[in-house]
Amino acid sequence: MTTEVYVSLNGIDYYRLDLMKSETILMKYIYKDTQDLSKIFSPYSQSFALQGSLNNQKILGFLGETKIVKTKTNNVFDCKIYNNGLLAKKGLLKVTEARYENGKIESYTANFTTGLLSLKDRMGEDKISDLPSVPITIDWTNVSVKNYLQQGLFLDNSGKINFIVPFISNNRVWQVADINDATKLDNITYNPIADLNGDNFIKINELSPAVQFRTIIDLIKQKYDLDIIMPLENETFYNDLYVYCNKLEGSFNNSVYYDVINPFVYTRFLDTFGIFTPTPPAKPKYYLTTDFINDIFNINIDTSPTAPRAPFNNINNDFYNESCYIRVIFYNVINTKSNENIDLSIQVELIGGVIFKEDSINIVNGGNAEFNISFLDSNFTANQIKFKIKVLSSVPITWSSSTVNLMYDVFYFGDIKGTFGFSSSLNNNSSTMSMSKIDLFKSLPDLKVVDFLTSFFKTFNISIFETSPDDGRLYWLTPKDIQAQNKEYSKTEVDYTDFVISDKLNKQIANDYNYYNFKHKTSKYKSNADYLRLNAYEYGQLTYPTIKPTKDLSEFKVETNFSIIQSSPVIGLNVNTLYGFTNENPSAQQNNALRYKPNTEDFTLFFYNGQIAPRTPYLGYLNIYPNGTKAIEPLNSITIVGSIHNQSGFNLGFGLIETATNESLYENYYKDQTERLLEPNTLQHTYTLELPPSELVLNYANTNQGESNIPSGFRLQNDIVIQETRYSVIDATIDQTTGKTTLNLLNYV
Amino acid sequence: MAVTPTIINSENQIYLANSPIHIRLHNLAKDTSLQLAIMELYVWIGNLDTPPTTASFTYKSTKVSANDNYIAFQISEPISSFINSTKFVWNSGENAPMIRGEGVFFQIKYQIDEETPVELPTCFATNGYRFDFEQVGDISGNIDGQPYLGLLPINYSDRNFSENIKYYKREFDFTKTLGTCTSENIIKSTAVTPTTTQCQKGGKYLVAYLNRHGLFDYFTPFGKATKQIKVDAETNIRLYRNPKSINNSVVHSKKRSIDTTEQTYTINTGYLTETMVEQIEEVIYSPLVYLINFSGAVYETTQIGVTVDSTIITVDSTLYTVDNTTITANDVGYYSDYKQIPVTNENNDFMFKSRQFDKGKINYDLVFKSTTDKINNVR
Repeated sequence: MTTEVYVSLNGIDYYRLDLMKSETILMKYIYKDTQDLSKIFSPYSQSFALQGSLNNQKILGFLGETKIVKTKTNNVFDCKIYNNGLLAKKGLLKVTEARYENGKIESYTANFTTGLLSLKDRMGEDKISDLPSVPITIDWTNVSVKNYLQQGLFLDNSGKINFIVPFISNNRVWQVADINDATKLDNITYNPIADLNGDNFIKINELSPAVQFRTIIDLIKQKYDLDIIMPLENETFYNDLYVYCNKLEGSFNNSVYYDVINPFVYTRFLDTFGIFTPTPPAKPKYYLTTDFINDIFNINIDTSPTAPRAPFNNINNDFYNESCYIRVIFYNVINTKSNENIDLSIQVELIGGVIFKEDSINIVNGGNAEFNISFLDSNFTANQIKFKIKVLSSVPITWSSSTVNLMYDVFYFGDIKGTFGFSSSLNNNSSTMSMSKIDLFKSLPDLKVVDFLTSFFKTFNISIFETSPDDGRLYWLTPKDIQAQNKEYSKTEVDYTDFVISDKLNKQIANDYNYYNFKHKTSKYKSNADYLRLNAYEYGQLTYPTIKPTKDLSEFKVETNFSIIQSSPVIGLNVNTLYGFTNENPSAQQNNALRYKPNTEDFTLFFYNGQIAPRTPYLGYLNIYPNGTKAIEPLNSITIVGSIHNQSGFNLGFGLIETATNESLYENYYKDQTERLLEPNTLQHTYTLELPPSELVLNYANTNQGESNIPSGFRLQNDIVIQETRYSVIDATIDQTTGKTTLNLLNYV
Repeated sequence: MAVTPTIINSENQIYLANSPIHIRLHNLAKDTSLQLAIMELYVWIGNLDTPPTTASFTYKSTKVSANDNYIAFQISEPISSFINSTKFVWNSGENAPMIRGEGVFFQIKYQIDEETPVELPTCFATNGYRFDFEQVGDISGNIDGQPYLGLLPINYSDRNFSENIKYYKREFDFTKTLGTCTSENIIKSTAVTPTTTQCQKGGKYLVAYLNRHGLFDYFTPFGKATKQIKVDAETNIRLYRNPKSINNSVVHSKKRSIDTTEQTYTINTGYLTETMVEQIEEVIYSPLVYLINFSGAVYETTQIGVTVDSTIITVDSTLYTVDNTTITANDVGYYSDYKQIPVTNENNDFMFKSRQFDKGKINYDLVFKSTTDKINNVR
């Protein structure tokens, strides 16, 4: 067999390296290690030596000769390995060392990796919230949320990302009862005459959106340039899987310029007497004009103003203050995401982007926010100052109306003050400024991309396989996918009896696990904590044996970073909800209704199960319109979610949960594998083989009956027959130059 | 930047790249104020007057020690890596062998700090080597001259010759003009007429090797020649499916696969005079060696005037077509059939033998390994 290794300095022209006579390029193929993401992306080679011939030195750009200026910034070369003229591997050659002897290069040490090994490095500390290149936002106003809750599937403002607003409260237990039943404090039955300041309706700020799970995977593919074939994408339950955007604070990135709607008019304000209203001066000192289109404020100083009382009195002992100020007021500011207080601030941003001054306040939900920013005469340039007002909030908000006034004081009769200025009528700019937007990804709980992927792989027991070296694509396959009929990723059976060259065979005990534990993250959700207390195991957890061994524990543990929530019925309504709040002690309101703390930390998954139209009584929802009008309105349907996918019966627990009867993560993805490992006759067999060149490259021309799409050649997913036993592959070490191979196999019983 | 090539008309412009080539750069004042040197190295094959437009390698270095008045670079490997397609093809009769790629042109352009860039004359480098006390020669300008013994004349008179072989001497031609000089014609072949000839008694071999100038030269051995083959094979067990169906009186239960078949040639030089030992030393140091194995057949007078039309003579997978070639009287007496064998030099010990201590027994066993397997495995 001839093996040729080609490398390229510029990614275009490839040159052949001189290999040593006894060159061994040991490629390591590992079926899977769910514990470490970097090892999932097989294969990679052990390090091998390249001779330091002049040819190799030239091809590697005289690596080691430190005085020659290098055109490459690193010592990683694009590399192709050919076996008998056929492309077998494509990836990167990392040169790690140049060995000198007597001043001459004797050899280089290098290893070969597929381009994907560095994926873990590339992901680094990236978070899921960093994935979108532009913010993925949705409108979050009372009116829009009512639509979301009633109508199910929606697309974000860019029209690409699916989201829903599920029927989940993040702070209280809903009840449905007769509207006159005063004992039901959180009765949400539709009652048009309920107290608008009460609790007897669904409120916008106890709801949260949920983003489609697959969009996260899609964004990962896009961001890290992965070409992935994943049959899971064809499953309805996968497409109906959603992630709860339950993070409340510090995530919305709302900052917009104040939208000026109404014109400013010259105004006199109350003076210090409260009754004495001096006539406004004919020529005020400060003028406010506005560029409505660009929302730019412009204050000008008139250098020769007339005094306020000039028409009455010619005693010119009146004088102007040497400053003016801008007063911005927002009325009835509402946090549309929770009941928490609101941190609101404004910035006066001069034309050119410099922040002149800022002011911030913390107000209770529903309160008014007033800001005052003063301008000294010395702040003006050529008697003019131009700026925009930027409003910033960490949470989505709405307000009923707002106003901006320019004010300045004039003193007359010594210490008697009159206030003059410019004001406009109230601006209804809450909807035009859209500070009630939610960034779907920023409101996902913090989770690293690496942890997300690892959890995803664990959830569905996904293994990663390469396709042909030419296209650099990957298969992400569940054990079920591998069993599929005649797909290019399907497993097949190959007979390697002929290729065994050693008469020695080791049979090892493959593992000594005595306790298998499959679970999601232990979450803070109240219903899950209650479940654990009642059942002694977690919601969705599966262990074998049921009782954990107390001696010599060797645990096989699969734990994801995801959370699922047990569903709970809404009393008086034939519909289940999920409790989106934590197990922490609730606080009691004045009327003794309990308020829980929203769970904002657990990365939560559930299935979208469509809409349910609650029969009479309808549920009530508090709607607030842009003009500030409040109304309690009936909901004719609601968006239902749960840990069980109603359509397919698929459930998100490893064990059977709730009404699930058959499909679980364990049953679908782990059962066969675990049961094989539990069988005492399943042993790890180590064979030495010499694979022919045809096995070292993937050949898509397969003539086997019924396997037209399955390539021939060594693949990790294949079952291997040697003599009278069938095996699956644990790992393989293949010498790419000779075909000498060590296979660790697990026998089928 | 680019360089302007110059003619090559002196031995000082010949470099032997199998030994290090040290370049030492000074600033104009030759003092310690120099800080940084950037040196461009242009290496090319073909016409002397068409150097590459961009540098093949750029060297950059700051001064190493404060007291230094120079910055040094060693450039032999990058140059030598361009001499990578050296070919030698023997020809039958009195035709000269076809030889290609013995050397390359190179030229240096450097700049010290902010001084005007300096261009050195064009040089020619082969894969020859220098002996112990020879340092690199002087190019010109601000590079130091160093002890250099020049291209010592190679002794062609005190040699063994076979009367059946036509000999050619390879040497540098310092008369070529800029427009005509190429990396091939800068080395000329001159026929050498044997003065001492002997009858080849053992195997009829000719050793063609790169001498210390990096040019092809011949040694004619007269002693015993042996050929040895070492087989590296593995015998493995063979497993079966459905063992009950196997008739092991018919089916092999082991299989043998041959990895390599290495051919080794051991050739005795025959008795030599004391001055011939120097040539043996060169053969032993040689980086590239061919064996020409003659069958013994020679052109005879009866062949004079005979045309060998459209006949292909195959020499170990290499095709040589002798179409429409007329055997002339000049070929008569020279070997006609031969096999050219690329070999590696396996002689690792060498002892100088002398008339004083070894009497008439000055002879050596030269060991060569064929680079090709006996079982052809060229793929």
